[in-house]
Amino acid sequence: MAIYSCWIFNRHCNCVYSREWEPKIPTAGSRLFSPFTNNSSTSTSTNSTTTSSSTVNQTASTSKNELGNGLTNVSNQNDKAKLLFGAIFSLRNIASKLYSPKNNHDPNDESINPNSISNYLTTFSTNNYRVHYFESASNWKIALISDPKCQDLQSALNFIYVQLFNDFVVKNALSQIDFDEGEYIDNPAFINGLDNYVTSLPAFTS
Amino acid sequence: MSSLISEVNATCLDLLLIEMVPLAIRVTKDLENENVITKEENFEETDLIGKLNIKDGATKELNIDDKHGRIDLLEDQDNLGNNDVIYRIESYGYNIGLRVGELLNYKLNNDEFANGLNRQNLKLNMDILNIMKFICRDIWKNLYGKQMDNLRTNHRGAFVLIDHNFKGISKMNSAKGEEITNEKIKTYLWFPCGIIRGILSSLGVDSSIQAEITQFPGVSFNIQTKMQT
Repeated sequence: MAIYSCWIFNRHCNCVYSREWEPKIPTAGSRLFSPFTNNSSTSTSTNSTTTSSSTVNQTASTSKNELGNGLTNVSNQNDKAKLLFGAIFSLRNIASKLYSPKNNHDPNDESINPNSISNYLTTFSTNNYRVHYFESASNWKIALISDPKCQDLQSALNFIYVQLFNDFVVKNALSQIDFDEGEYIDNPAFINGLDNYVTSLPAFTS
Repeated sequence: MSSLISEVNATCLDLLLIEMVPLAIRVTKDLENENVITKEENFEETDLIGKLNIKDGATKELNIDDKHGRIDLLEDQDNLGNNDVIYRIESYGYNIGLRVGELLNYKLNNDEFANGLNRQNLKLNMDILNIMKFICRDIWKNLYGKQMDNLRTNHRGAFVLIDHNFKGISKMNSAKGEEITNEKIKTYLWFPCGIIRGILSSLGVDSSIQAEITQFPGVSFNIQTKMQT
């Protein structure tokens, strides 16, 4: 089992944090550890995604990769992040559409806020990957990508939001909380804190 | 439940400190701009259009680097090192210190009274060292949930209070590295300095205080009192 990457999106739908860990034992196909490679069930643009992200990976890994193994805030703008966001966004909306609350007279009412409906998307998986998803009421979205056999990581996502994010972004006077496009969560306290926490999880090592 | 309440209280202090520095910068900038405009008014009272332009320019300049939820205001080291800004922050802390000292003094006396403890009345036994201990133990515990780690004195009115993990700044971290982080935090440290000066002042001790970051997030407060011991 392993955890491959972590992604955080803000309420403007920008990816403000991305972290991809090197897999311990590199296996064929997991080189890119993207949720969209080898994925027969989801997207039709699989081929274009893999090719574009592989070139980005190669160029970026030399430039900005100083903090441990893997990539930090490198893939925020590329297709991988955008497709992940799109997939999560659609699934989340489907989830709220499928569920018709009993006290609601018209289940097709478009004005319902998807957030107010208690049919949350928490995880979805493919043959090779599982995406664990958390969304705050303020529309911050956190996703962890792991292998499909990984246990449920909701508590880890909750910890990342409550402890790490709140402490080192919200309560950090020297960090903004409203991120423009192209701005990332790049203070070392958050990056190291998240690294230490995730790599210490049993799901990461076992 | 009680831990939740103290969490909320601690967060309030954190958020107050976070907002205080940008507020001080804004107020100082506004006042500076006002001065510029009134000066211009004195010189060219008839030039209405010119005056309006200046006003427009001034407000625009303010808006460029001051948006909600962002820290552009803090990027300019001139803002953070500005003496007016520092003075403002320190005096906010001083005013809060005056009140907090009074409250906790009352609370402690009251607790003792309620518990019927045999501790000596603080008021009767307040020499300068006891006052410092009062700050290290009671004030710091109430404000930051922990006591100071170390108290040193030369017995000639100088004290050094050391907190190895100062909660007020422990979460601050700039993306631009340790040096910049420490540089910026210096401005924020004027607030606890003001609090200590306010408390000392409420107990009748005049002092001047400077804070230093020893080893992040450790802070030492150097206090020079003007009291004869």
